Amino acid sequence: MMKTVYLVSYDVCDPRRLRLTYKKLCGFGMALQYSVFRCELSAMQRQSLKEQLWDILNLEEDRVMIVNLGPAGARGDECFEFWGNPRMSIPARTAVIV
Amino acid sequence: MAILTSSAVDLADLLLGQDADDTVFTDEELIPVRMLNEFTYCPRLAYLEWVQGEFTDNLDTREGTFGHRNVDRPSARPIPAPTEFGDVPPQPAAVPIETSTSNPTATTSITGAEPSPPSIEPATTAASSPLLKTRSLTLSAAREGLVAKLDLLELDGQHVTPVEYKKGAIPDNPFQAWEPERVQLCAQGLILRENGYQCNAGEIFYIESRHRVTVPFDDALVLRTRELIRQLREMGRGGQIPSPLVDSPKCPRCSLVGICLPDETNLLLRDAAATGLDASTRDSRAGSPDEDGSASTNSLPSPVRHLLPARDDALPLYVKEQGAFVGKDADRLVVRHRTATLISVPLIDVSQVSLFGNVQMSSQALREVVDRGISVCHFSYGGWFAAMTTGHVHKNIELRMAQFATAADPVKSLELAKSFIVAKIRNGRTMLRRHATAQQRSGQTDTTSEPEIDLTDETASPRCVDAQKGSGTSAGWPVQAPAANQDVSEAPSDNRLTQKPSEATARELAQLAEWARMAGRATSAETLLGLEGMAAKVYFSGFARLLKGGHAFDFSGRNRRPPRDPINALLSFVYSLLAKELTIAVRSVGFDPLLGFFHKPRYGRPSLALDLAEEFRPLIGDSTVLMLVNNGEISESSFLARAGAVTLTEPGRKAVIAAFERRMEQEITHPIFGYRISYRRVLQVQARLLSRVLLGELASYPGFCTR
Ligand code: SF4
Repeated sequence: MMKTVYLVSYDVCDPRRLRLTYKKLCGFGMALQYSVFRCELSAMQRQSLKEQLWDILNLEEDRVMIVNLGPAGARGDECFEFWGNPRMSIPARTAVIV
Repeated sequence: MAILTSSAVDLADLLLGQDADDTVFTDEELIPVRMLNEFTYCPRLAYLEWVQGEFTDNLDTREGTFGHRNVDRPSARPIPAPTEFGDVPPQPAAVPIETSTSNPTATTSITGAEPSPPSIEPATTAASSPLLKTRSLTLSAAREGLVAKLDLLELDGQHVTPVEYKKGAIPDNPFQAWEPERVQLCAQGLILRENGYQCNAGEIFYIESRHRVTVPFDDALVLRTRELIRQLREMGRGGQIPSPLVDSPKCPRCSLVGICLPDETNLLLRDAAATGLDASTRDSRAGSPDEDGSASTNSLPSPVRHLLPARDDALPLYVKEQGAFVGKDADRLVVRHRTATLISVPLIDVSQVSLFGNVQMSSQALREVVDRGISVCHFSYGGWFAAMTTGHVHKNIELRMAQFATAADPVKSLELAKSFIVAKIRNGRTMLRRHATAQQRSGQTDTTSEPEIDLTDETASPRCVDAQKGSGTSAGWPVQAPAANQDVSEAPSDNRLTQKPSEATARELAQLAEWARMAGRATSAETLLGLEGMAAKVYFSGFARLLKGGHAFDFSGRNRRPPRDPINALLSFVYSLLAKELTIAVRSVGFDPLLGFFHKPRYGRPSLALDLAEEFRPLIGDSTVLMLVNNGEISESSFLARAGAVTLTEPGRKAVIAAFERRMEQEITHPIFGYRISYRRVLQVQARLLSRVLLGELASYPGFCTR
């Protein structure tokens, strides 16, 4: 399945919803900065993320921005440039063995 | 299954809803109207969902459900029963909804904000009063035999109008609606009528177009709806799955396409019909490497569309660090060892979990993974596949009944066992043949080439999670054949090769071809077992010559409990991993993994998984071992010998799992269907095809044979 890299950032006005949003996004990708995540998602996973975030957020007060950075393994990850200490190592698509 | 026409049926009866016998259906017999929608879309889809209990989401269905978010809240007020209206004269059918509703409520639903419902007044007088609405109402009709959940119901006097919400735009056809939706709506109308309401039309609200379309319940539609209900009921009784649609544009949008396998099934059915031979001959020609390109089909078949994703989104997690603990943190699995966190992965990226030896898992984590359909496989420290934890048993009871019946029938069991073994012998033969030609071509200098194996799809993924742990011999992925090992590995193997390689190989190839043919004609399980044993012996002696690891990797045939040399230790472990994969695959299709057709049932043994594993042992198991040894990914120091038994060290085990996983994720061209697909997917497809054989759709099991 083709996956797409998304940059997801959010403004959430209420501390409880903020915490829930952060936790939820941890299940879909990795935090790059405060309130900024990198998520690598299939179309279905993107829909799941939408459904689950909509259950948490109050869209009258909160906002989410989702930027499509293109297919995983291609430009999607080349367009990142970090100044300072980056918090990203791009996961390869392999089974995890520990 | 014959597609019925309404000609033979009494049209008047259908129209009036009068069955000859005044049938009243019990609650259990009620057909959900949503199912009628699916049946109209495709009878096979309804069968898969209704009879076999299959359900999978795809983006379409999920977005559809998402569009219903604001509808699915039950209305606070019950609608008045029809009698409460008193004797109000019926209203004309066409209620001008767009003008009477100030604003269709669903337009705002897509922005997530629910408008306050319009003021509701009991409508005792009809025409002028505002519409009365109710949402998400479940209603049944015993005589029609239907039950439905209505998105929205609008009452205007004694007239009611069901409204369905559909994602997407208005379709470009004369009805401005697809047939499944019109039928679904009409069935709702029939239910409402039986409940005493007047209902002459329904409406579909297209969320994307933000527009309503009226669907009048005219005679033609009522007739069609009743006819489809009758057919659906008949299908439910029949026990025979309807054939897949042919080359239909519906399939790519169908959520069950990966389960249905429409084009694959049609191809196999067509092949079987074209050859028109009896089952045994068909067996022996399926995917035969010797009769490539044989004229099996006369008509020009439409190609199999690539409707299956080539591989899964998610990947396995293996935990072999002794003393590790697998827990859950929100939507991630976290593996800890004492105070250190070894890894933390989002659950959406995990397809299965394997635990080796002394590894704990929290009950929260266990609950979460089984809820998500992720299996947990338990291995002993030494790599013995001991148990599997999964969620509830698959609902496809029809399949399990067929499996048990087939296993109890020696003739049918033998037919299947033959297919497995023939494919196994052929695949082993192909492997020897391919290596022999590769070696001859490269004049014995190339030690590691296996044209199809590896190094093509994944040239650059030098990651093995957390390389600081257990990086003894060869933690990361060796991307090229390691040069350092070559002088060690080449000398002895060259010696062996010069012992007339081609002659020995040619003899073996001929023998294997002959035994594969004989296995296809075996008339008893004993004969088959004998042939399998002889073939294995010859095959493994050929396999031994392909190993280039030096004397440490000398191999003179299989021994198992315990393995007494490194190659046997490797084979046992990869076969165990393979058994795990197939246990997961057959279970997800709905089989009982313990009951096989070739392997006799024995306490706790996944016999069916072992049956299906046969044809993949050479392709996945043995070639993984070859890769490990010939690429130098494993060395003498990866093994421990204790009292005659040889086991893998931890870093050794990690290298084996990594190589096995690379093989499973490798994409190959499917020999029958022609598209790219990973080996892991191939296993799932084979398990699915086997289910079709047991349920009578396919005449014989098409073993997976590479060319
Ligand atoms: S994939 Fe095609 S044939 Fe199969 S159930 Fe779906 S629509 Fe029907």
